[in-house]
Amino acid sequence: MSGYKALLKREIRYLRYDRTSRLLQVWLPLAAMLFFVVLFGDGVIRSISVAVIDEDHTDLSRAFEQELDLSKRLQIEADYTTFVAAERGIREERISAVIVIPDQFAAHLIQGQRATIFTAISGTNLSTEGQVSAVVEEAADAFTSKWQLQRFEENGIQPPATQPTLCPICIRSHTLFNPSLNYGTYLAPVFLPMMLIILTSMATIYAVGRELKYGTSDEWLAGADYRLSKALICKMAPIIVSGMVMVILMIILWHYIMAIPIHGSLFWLLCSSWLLLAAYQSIGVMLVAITGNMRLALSLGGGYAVLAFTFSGMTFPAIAMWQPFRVLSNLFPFTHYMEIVVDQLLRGAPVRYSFSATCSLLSFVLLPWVTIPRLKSILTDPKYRGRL
Amino acid sequence: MKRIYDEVVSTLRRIGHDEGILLVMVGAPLIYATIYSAAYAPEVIREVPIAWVDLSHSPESRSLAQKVAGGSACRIAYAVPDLEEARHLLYAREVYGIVFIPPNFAEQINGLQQSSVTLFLDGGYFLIYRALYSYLATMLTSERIRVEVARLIDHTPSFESPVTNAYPLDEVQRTLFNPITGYGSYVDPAILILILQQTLWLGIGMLRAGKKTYALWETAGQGIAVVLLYLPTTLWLFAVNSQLFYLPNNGSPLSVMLFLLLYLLVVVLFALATSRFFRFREEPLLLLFWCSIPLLMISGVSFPQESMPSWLYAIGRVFPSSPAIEGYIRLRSMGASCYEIREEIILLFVQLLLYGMVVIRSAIKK
Repeated sequence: MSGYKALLKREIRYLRYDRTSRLLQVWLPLAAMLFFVVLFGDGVIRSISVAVIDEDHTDLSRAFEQELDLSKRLQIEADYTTFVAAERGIREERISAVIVIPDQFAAHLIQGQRATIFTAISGTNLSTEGQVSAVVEEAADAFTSKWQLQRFEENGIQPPATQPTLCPICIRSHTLFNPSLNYGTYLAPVFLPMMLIILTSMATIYAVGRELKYGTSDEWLAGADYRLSKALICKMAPIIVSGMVMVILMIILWHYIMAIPIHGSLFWLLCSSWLLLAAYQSIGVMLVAITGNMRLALSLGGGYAVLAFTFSGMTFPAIAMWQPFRVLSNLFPFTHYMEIVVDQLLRGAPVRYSFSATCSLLSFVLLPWVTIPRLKSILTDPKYRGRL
Repeated sequence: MKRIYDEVVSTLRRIGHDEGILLVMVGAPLIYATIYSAAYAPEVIREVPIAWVDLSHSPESRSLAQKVAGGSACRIAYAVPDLEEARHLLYAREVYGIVFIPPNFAEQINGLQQSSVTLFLDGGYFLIYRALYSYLATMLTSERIRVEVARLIDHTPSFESPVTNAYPLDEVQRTLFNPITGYGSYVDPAILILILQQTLWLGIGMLRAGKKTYALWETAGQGIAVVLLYLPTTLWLFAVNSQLFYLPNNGSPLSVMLFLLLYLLVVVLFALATSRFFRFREEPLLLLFWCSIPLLMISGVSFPQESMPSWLYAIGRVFPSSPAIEGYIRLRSMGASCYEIREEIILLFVQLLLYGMVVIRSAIKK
């Protein structure tokens, strides 16, 4: 046990006196969490600036504008009176969309003809585009219902007799697992662990690589009686402990600050978070073993960790990617972790549905250890020491 | 001049002989750009699998199923007898939505009553949810209008124009600058701008770390070397890669070129100015990888500017990538003129001046 204690003390000393280690394991994870909590706030997208050009100036056109205004998601800017000006406003990013109520809007409706509402939305930001599109559709539906009721009354048909004719098929839509379609609820569980895996990868490669860079690998191994597994366990322990403290903090932030309910197993979520961090640690160790060069290992490890975000399927889903990319997405532990997060945090799925993803994570923890013999030979070979 | 020229040559040699820097400054921009663009190249989500729970077993429900299966947005992967089985498929990620037809669907439709169709859609994956909801709602609305028109014709002869009454408002939506609302067309331009900044920042940090000050001629030589190295990279990212993956290209080529040149110069000065904070050559790698995603978010692309605190958005303006992402998207994707992106251009010039002054000041101290 004394060997373990001395090795752990050595790592903790690094954490205390080395600015980079402290940044990687303490301050940057905290900064990243604070950043995303502040960024997402309550996660609701609101006050998207749009222009409404009312060319009709009638009670009906104003009624439609009121329907749009009822949604707090839009902020109607009054400065735009022509389509050309509004189009320029979109290009200058002062507004995201323009909704035109054309001349003769009311006249067409009253004469029993179909009236048109024209909406042009900037497609360069899909999150706002989706919101504007939905609000305009909702406003059009609400306006249509009121207009149809008015027409029925004019024809002497009173509710409830109007109901089946007006809406013969009622569409009931249930949004499962994120009923409020909250953007923060969706994105926070992706970004916070993403930050943790990048920083854990970097901290691990740095912790092992610096023994090579500063030529201290012999001293490190001697402290572990030249048993690499013992040396690695002590090296990885403080990183994973600080990582797990961040994971717990992350879950507290999800639940208590961002009001994301945990529908599934918290225990499974914690275990898989531990496996995720351990997987990226194992991959970090493997990269040092393969390259024998801290800088190259950091370049590769950082790139691999950052790419995980793209392949997680949480932005653009893997099922829509080309087949080789779908296969490739399985080579990132983060992809499997996100499945577990969606299952256990959002869906409340029985644990058995997360079992295969957990096994995949476990394989990422274990497989890189096949490179341990090579790492040992590198650490004991003087030609790798001090190598830039 | 001779000293500057020698420094340019020596910097390029150092980069060429350092595999870590070479990977970051030459390999990474090309690899990242290709991977990101290729991953998002399909642009839209097609054939999302759904489960169909039909308890009606009627010609009406079968006709509805045929209608839904006819489009490309989703496919009926499973027809299951009950919601329990459908839920199992949803948990197992075999399907991402369920359409439930109640037992009395046909009777209600034919008996002048109100019927219903229930959708259960997975809100855990935003883009999939959006694609499914938009497609299924359109399909079901068109079926609703068909039944409504038939009822109006049959049962309310007092109506002169039943079709118009069932569908009085024609809501025409057009998505500008990205007509198919493609994900790649939306996010790739921003990613390319960010790749340029991050790899350059990392590379210059690795080149210069460990030495607090450099002479002016050394700094100038290094800056020129990096600009020379990045000119072909910029050309590849924004001309070749953008063409290969059909990214939006509505801007004037000359304006785009000049804007990118300005951005490249600002990023080089920004990286030179901040490199003094790195104490050893690996430190930029350790400390900068994590901030790529926050920088993308703070630029207002992935998360709308209107929904983030204004002070956070203002902090983002310190980095060249934020005004450059906004300016580039508007210039290249939206076809805006230089005048229409004047605020971004002015901000980049202010950054050029500020970071230039920091670089010159720290070099003069030497």
